[in-house]
Amino acid sequence: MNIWKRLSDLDRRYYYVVLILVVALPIIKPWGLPIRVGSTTDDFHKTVEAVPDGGTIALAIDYRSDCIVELNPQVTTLFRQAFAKNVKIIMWSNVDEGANVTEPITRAVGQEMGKTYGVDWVNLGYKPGGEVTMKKMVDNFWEGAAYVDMQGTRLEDLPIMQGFNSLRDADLLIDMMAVVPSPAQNYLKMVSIPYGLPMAIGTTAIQAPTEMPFYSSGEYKGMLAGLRGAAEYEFLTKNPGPAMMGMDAQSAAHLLVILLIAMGNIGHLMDRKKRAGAPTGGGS
Amino acid sequence: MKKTLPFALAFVSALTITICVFFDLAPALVEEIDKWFILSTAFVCCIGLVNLTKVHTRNIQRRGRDWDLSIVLLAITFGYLLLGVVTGPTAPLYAWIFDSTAVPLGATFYSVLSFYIVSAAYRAFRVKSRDAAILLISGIIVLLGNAPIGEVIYPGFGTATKWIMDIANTSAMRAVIFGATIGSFITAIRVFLGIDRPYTATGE
Repeated sequence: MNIWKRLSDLDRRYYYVVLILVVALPIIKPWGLPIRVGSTTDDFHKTVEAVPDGGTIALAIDYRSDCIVELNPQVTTLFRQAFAKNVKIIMWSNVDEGANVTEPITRAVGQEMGKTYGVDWVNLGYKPGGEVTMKKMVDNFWEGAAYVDMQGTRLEDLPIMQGFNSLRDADLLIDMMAVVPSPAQNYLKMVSIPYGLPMAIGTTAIQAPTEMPFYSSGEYKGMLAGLRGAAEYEFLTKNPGPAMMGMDAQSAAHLLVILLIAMGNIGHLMDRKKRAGAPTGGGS
Repeated sequence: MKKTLPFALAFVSALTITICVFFDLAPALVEEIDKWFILSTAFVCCIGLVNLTKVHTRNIQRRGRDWDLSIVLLAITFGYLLLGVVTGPTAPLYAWIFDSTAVPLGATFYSVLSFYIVSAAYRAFRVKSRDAAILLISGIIVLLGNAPIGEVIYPGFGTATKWIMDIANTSAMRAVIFGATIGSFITAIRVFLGIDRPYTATGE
């Protein structure tokens, strides 16, 4: 096997080991690369900042445990920003695991910032029904939420729910989502556009291109895209956390991918050229 | 009966909702149908559980492929279900089992994707045509623009990434969204008229 062929056909175990090292090393010893804040994150931050003191954010958690690395830092930072300006959060999930994956992180932020469950925030748990439930939450929020929170506490026993009878009572609707079909687009259709409720989203880097048209058209007032979006948001709110820590590792992994693409292509092209130039046919 | 009743139910419900919502009539009736829909969505989980139990019980009885794993699956499913029903979804033991098994497992499976992405980038992303070259260059720009290192190397990567995402990507995605919307509208009409019947066992 010639050197070019070998370059384009490395044993995968080699670059798997390199990937592990390349991701682990910047986490152990950070490079401290500067983070530039993009317009999507900046708009998200400004939209949350525009919620009046004492206002309410309705937060849909639509992701499962597979996407916690990208989305949990977004949710944590959102809670920190909201609690810092005394904004309340009413959250629920349209996805089976959603309420469970965020329960521990939201409780931790609540305790750390001296907030009280049921007064400053509430987790209503999993609410099935998709678009119909979304519409029901506009017509009669309590009925849409089946009258109980995640722990089975009646909504009338939770001070935060007093006077909150419809999604229209919220100042801002946020969907943190990483499932297909997009629940955020359903919220746009069923709630945000018909009732003029401002909406913003947080999503994974993979799903961001799908949601981009709705941000560009102004229907989403802001968007956090992937771990990069979470890192920018942490930076903006001066709450450095796991997302900012992960940026150096992400940079290193992206460089490795580019290097491997280049290696594979150079090896492939040179091998093809060599074959084309090699004499063909017989010989004795 | 097996074909006619589901079709009649689907047709009458869809027609009622369409007329009532379009002409703003009988809100109480619409609300009632919505309630039934939410209830039936929740009930789908039960059907899934019954189906799962039937398939794996049969596998155990027949000593089929990996029947021992079927026992493990049923034990975990019903054990965790029982625990949830008895203690509630936020009880410390229930939450601890979820947080220390499902959460790390889900994140681990997702992170394994990075190895496949690296492998695919190396083996499959080859410049074999002009289109592939355009795709490759755009991909590399977005990769660099989405990581802080890109702007350290060259500040223009951020601007180029923004252009690709805002203009090129958005234009293409809007076309896809329009196409998908028209497709789902046609599918809805076919289901409405009973041409497609996804709610019957055979779909006919």
